Amino acid sequence: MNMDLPPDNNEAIRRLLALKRHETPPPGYFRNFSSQVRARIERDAAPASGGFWNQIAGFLGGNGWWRQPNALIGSGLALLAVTGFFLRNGPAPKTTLQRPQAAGLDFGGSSQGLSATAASPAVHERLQLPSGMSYRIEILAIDSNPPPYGLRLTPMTVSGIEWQR
Amino acid sequence: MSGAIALMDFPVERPATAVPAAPPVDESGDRELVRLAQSGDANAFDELVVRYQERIYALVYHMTSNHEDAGDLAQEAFVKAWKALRNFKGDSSFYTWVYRIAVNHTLNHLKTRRARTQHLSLNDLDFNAEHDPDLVQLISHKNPRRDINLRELGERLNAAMQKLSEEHRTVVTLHDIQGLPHDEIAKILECNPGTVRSRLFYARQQLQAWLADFLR
Repeated sequence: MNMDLPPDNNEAIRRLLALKRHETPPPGYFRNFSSQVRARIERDAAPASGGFWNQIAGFLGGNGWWRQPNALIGSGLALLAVTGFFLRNGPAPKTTLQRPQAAGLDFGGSSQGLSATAASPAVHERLQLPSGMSYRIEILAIDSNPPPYGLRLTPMTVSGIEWQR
Repeated sequence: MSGAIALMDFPVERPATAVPAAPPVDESGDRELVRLAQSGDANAFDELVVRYQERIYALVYHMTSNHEDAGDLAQEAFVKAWKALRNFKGDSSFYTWVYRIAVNHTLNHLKTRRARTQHLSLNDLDFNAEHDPDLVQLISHKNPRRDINLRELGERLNAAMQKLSEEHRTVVTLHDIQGLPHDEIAKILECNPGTVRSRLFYARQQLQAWLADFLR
């Protein structure tokens, strides 16, 4: 690099440029500056460690835990237990929905309560309220196990309600 | 500027003007703050930010001539510094290191985005500007309607700065506006001091031509 540059006779330009030092942001501008920097840091860090799927991905990919023999055996046993649970309970086809007695409501249909199966998912019942309003309730799917007691509402889907006056 | 600032022992080529250079930096406490920040102490890093926020902001502002960009880029530079802090070995001062990050980040921004030309208004000149003898002389000499000339001067200065290439603008900012010595600028830009002098020389030549009206 040329170290013998002629001395620039630009004193005036230097003085002029030095005036730019007066260009400053409004008073108080820097009051929260460091807080804003910290907020940016935290915001940037959040997706990397806070997202559920990122955590799962990091867990699976980062540590390689599944390569450990003990973890592999444990995972296999857990899978067997879950499979066995479902096999033992089997796909019972029918569910009974008990009629609520204490609610003061009158189901206009079957006195045995509501029932539905996966094969015949639609069950219609009319619900009559003391006020005179009635509803048509359509139940599409009900868990196959009979409810042990009382009114079992889950899991089921109520897809339509007709308002009748 | 941070109150914890003492005289800087740079062999600064001081501009012959009443306008003070950017206040010198006391780097004595930086090392401990950096060590704490490297171990995850966010408060220590906050202190470092407070120490250098105004300098970094000013650096970015003079390179971009844009207030909003300066705020964003300065904060982003500190975020980058935080993320890279574990890799900081202390080969240079924290001050030089964070300046380098800010310069590089701003240069990347300028390369990828067309710099907008939104200037600070007259009201953004600080209070001392009105008492600056160079400015008073310049304004009174040019035109008694000093408000118009102040605004015009600011716009012309910024426009002229933006005409410079980014590398020339950087050295002018660091030396003529912020008052850093050639050696320090060379460390920040990772080039040799001769390159800094050369860029400075040619940048001034160009500025002199563009701002001739104000230099008569």
